[in-house]
Amino acid sequence: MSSSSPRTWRVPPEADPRHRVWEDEDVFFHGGAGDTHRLSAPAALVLLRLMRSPADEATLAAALAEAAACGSDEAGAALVEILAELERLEFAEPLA
Amino acid sequence: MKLGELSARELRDRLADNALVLRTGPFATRMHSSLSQVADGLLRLYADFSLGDGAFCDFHVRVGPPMGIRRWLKPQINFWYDGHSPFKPLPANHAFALLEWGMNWCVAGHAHHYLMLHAAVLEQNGRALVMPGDPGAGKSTLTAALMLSGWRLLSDEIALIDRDDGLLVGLGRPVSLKNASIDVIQRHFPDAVIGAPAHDTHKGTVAHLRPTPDSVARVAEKARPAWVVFPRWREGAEARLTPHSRAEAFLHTANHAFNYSLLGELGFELNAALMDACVCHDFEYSRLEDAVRAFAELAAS
Repeated sequence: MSSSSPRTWRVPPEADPRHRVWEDEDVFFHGGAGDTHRLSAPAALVLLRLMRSPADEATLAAALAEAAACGSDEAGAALVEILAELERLEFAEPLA
Repeated sequence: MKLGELSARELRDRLADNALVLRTGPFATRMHSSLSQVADGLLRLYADFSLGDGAFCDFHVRVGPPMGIRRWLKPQINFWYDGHSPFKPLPANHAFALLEWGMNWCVAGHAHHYLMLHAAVLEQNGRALVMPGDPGAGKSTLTAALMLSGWRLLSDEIALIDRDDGLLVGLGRPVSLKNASIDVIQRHFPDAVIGAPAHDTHKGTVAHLRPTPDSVARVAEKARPAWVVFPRWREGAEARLTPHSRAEAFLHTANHAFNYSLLGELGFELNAALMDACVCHDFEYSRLEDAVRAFAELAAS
């Protein structure tokens, strides 16, 4: 996450994700690719937030910090990795 | 009319005339073969199954020798579906096993109005037990033992999930036993009816176990999923059920399904509904008696 150019992220429309959680383990289905993934709890939190509406990185980091009861720096660092993973899985993309 | 009501001669004639339609759960299969091995196997293992009127058949299959000079040099058999052959020819004494594999292939490759998982399914008191299992895990042995101990068999290999209601649909076909399992089941259940073994197949020695009359008679009764259990035979292990993550069970069943990806979102929703409805366990065992007891306790819980 770059502090100089915070970005807003969204779920690509073609991803059309489906979600289930069992005993705190989250499984997501990518409707466009037809792939199924188990995501960590923090990644699931971010994706579920993005499924509601696009959000900027500050908002996502704040949600992460609140859920994990950690500091904003720690949450920001984790968010970088989470967004990279979600982007690789095509569950998230930065808005231009 | 049941297949067992035909005399051996009538059955052979119908098979040779492409006039035998066998009902296995929701499917009707028209069978064509002049091989006595096929007729004998059907009579021994499918006697309780209904015959269809032939008005509509889901699958048209034939088992017989391939064409060409090779048939005279080294007797072989092949399986045809709608006139084409999806498999390589096999030794002639594998005819019945090839018919069974071919029938599995017909369902797994075509019945996409169901979600099809690679799992055995049994039922007791209206609740279904779904047992995925890796090869060699002891799934078929356990399935056979449970069926012969009073559980109703829905399927040994293919769990069919109805897309309209999420219930499990039965096939009721014979259980495929392999290698040591054949003797194990015969020793524990001396009255079990097992077909002629096919030796040296790609799975080793294979023989099929006749389903119980109750499994065949009630094949049209769908069952509500209650448990997903991953069995594992291990020498000396105490019979023990332990919790299994439902997310993990979801991914395993999806990865080993016949058509999960093909069904897309529907496959996800149906498999998710299965996990919503089930408690998931691992099950390790070594002695069949203990395993049967453990599942009786599970059913009573």
